[in-house]
Amino acid sequence: MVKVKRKPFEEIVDSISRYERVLNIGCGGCASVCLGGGQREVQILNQELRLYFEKNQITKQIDAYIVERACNKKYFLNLDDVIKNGNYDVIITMCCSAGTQLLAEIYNSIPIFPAVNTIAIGIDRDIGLYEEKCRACGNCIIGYTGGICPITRCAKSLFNGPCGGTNKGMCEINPNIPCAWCEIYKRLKAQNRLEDILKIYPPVDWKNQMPRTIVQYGYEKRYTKK
Amino acid sequence: MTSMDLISKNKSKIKVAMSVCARCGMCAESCFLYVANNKAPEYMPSYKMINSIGYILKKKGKLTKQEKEKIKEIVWDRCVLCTRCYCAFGIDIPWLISLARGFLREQNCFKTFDG
Amino acid sequence: MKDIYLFVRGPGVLISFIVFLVGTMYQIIWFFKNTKRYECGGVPIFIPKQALENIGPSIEIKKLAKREGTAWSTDPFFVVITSLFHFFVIITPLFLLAHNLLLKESWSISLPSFSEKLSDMCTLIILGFGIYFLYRRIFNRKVRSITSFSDYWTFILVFLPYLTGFLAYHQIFPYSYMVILHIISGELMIMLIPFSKLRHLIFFFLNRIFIQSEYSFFKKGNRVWS
Repeated sequence: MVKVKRKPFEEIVDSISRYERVLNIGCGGCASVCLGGGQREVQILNQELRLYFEKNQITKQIDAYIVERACNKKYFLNLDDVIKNGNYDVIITMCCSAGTQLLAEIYNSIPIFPAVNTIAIGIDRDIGLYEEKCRACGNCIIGYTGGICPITRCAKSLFNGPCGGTNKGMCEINPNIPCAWCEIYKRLKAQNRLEDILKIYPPVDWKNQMPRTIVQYGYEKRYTKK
Repeated sequence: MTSMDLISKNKSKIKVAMSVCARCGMCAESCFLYVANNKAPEYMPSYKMINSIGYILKKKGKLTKQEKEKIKEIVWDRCVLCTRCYCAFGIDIPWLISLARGFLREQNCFKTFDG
Repeated sequence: MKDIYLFVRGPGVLISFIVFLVGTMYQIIWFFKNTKRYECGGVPIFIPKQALENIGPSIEIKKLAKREGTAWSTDPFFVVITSLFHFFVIITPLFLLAHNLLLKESWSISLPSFSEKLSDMCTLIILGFGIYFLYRRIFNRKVRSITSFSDYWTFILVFLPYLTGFLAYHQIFPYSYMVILHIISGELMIMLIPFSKLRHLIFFFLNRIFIQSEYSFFKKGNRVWS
């Protein structure tokens, strides 16, 4: 799932310094699962902000609301009424950037600041420890590279083999991480299918340079304008 | 903003959904958790819906701590809101489960993923 | 006895039909009042042409695999039985000779009628399938876990008109009692359709046609609960 991490405290304080009534929106989806922006984290951040402002003798009203999913309007529950009745000047969100942008589009008269950085699509290694595995390039070839993504794990994102700077199996850019193509070679050799990386792939057209819209298989007719 | 606001705003919709549910059991096979847990009836979407939001409505929101824990287990451990459940009568089951989750959140009873 | 018969045969019919129609109208109006059109997450900025390309299997394969993932593939037996049951439940009383004669007597209108033997067979099918539903409700583990008292009395409410009609026609028990029981149970069933579990008759069509979902008929639903 998408992994998020809270921004430095000073940055969050800076973003709401001009405003008086703050609403903190958390998300019950990916942000909760990676312990970055769920209900508890929202409560903790609110308490830290309150203590900080109390110490500096500034009065601010800081409220919290958790939506079930910030990326799907159907699961916003009571958010509409909360915002209408609360009369907030600013909203800070602890959901991923996609949800924040949807909220900003729907509640476009209120400034919205994210309180988390969206880091990556990743896996859970252990509790509190998450590793990036995917950059969402839209052109997945990991089947032919033994399940290791060269875009994510190679520092130069090379598609067709190592760069020649491999030093004892480690990357020349950061000697602490293994060279992705060495790992790919080792894994494919153990599975006896080294021919899979002999095929040359054409240059990737870097689909992630333009915002993509996905129409799922079976729904094309619905969104084709006549 | 009390937790009963969420329920009382959607009261008639929840009531109608509980009534339209014909208890036919056809939603069971659409839930991957039902299939993966050896077809245990506690994972059926209709079971989850009736025993979470239906129960909250029946008790008008006044629940003991044990009942809240039981409902918390139903809506968080037995459902991931993947929204693939089908209902022959078109009941929106994921939305009702998310209402139950919202109700429990406002009572400060929610799942933390660190255990 | 005669007074009871005259009441149920005369005003009783009118009362039950009017209650049914008013109740149904109320449910339909409630449905349209509580749903909104196109209330989804907003309009996308731009849908590129490639997103609408259908790179799936051929049309023949798609048609063959269409039933996969629905109730047809997991429980086809039950789908067939319940569809037939509901079909007969609706057409048997509409095209029954005795009902059409009474209609002609009272309101000078009538529908075409089946032969009495055909109606008899249809009723037997309904009763047989009904017994199968009761059996399933008691002995099938997944259905039993969500069954409550109201399911059983609804079953009796629907079963009784057809059973008493069958018994009355064949004059198995004293006819006068049977026919009054038949008329009362039939009127009760029709009156309680919009106010009990039987409202799924109305909501089946409303939900499956108008609500936006991956399982809606004609894939044209565009309303959302609000």
